[in-house]
Amino acid sequence: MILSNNTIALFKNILEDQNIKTEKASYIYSQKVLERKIKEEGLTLSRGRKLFITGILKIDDYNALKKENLVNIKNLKKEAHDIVFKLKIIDKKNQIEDKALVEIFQRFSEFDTSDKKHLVNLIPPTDVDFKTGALSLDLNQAFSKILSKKSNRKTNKKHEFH
Amino acid sequence: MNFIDKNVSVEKAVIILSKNGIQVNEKEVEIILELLYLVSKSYDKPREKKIPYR
Repeated sequence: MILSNNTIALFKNILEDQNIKTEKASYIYSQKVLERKIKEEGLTLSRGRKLFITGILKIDDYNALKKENLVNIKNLKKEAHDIVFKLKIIDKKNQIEDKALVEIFQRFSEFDTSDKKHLVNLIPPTDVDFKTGALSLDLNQAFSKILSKKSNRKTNKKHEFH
Repeated sequence: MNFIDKNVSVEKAVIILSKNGIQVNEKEVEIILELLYLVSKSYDKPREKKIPYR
């Protein structure tokens, strides 16, 4: 049993939603924090420069501030660069081929027990053959609109859950 | 398992499915979203079995 091609768009939206909620969201948050810190460092240097010009800050102090500031900005930019790289990896990972996307039950064996139960409640099996493990599925009207039989699969395995 | 914070709403799902030629009512789309959110969890896990670093 696979997802029909015209449901892929909806499933992509859901996968994107799931990713946004997890790692992508945390990286985007870190990115914003880093941007703010870089801006703050720039403001600190700007204030130091004004104090130096007005004679309040000595040249040695100003140079020390400038040096420290440059190191901080360099480190923050490196962190920001790493996050951009990680976000690119996530986006790449999200570009799953449609062919892989339709196999929504392929990883049923890796589901948590509670998720397996949930799935079995949603799509109850009927006519289970305990010898071969083959079974039929009771598809309701909603699921029959989004799921289709996988035609090019070996015999007796099309509805099989392990 | 609840998906309280689902961002893909019933209305949005109906529109997406409709654009792809699937006509569903609200009750149908609710159960469709329940199924798709459930199976989407397995897509968050690593997709390939790799040899762990030792």
